[in-house]
Amino acid sequence: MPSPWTTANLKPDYLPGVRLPVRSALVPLIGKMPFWVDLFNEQLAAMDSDENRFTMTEDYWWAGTLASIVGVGGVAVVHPAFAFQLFQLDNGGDEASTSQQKPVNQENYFGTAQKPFYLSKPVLFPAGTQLLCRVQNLQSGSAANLFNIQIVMMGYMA
Amino acid sequence: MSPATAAPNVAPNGAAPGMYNDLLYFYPLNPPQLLANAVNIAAVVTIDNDSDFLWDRIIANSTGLFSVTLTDRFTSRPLMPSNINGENLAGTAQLPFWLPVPYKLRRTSTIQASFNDRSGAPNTIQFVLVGRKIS
Repeated sequence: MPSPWTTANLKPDYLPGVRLPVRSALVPLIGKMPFWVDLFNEQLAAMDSDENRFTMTEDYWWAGTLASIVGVGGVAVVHPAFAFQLFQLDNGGDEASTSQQKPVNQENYFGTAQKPFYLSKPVLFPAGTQLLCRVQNLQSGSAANLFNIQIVMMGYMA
Repeated sequence: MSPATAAPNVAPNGAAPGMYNDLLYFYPLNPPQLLANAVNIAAVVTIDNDSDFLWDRIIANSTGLFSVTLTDRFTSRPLMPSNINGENLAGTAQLPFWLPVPYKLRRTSTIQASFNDRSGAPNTIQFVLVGRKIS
């Protein structure tokens, strides 16, 4: 009888349409609880930007990112809709590190639940890690470009 | 004419819970139809007493946009700090959301879901936890 841990390790790196993190990198996540963090969940008008901070209360392994955009009032979303930048903060709340030289467009950073953007290897954020997520609506002009944006970090918690 | 060949014995040996191992199992959550902009509509699913459940994918369909918060009542811990949109949490049968590492839900434990409508119209949702029964 294979144990659930064996089954986890047998999951292939590739599933139909989805590239999962490499198997060996998933070992630390075995037995952990899946956890979704909504880093950002706001309405942004054209050219508007905002940021949100999140503090990890427990050790957290970041495995993938997802995002959804809905045009308010049923308006069709024009792409690129928004740009995103993620910072890790130091104890003073200042930007300590980032893996992006400049903001990255939504299409280049996020998937959806159907086709998530999984990291090749999960990244550990120890308890107490502070993250800052900055988002800018890239559409200009029309007041119709009002978007509901949710950015979600998927991972596992101890 | 050759004698009839006995049909191969495809039945598993014995009826141990392990017989479920290769068979997908679906635990649907069917909240009552959400009214327009309804919030915190609860639905609960209880894992069967015969086996633990190795949860490895999420599938949902709905008549409109929704968000949801899941809580593992065995550990009394939410799986998310606040509502996650359905687009970011659940796929379809063709393209399910795969948990990179399956999560074991113990027999008789319960998962609670709290649904919110984002469509502004009545919303019928089925949210399904998919995986395998294990002993």
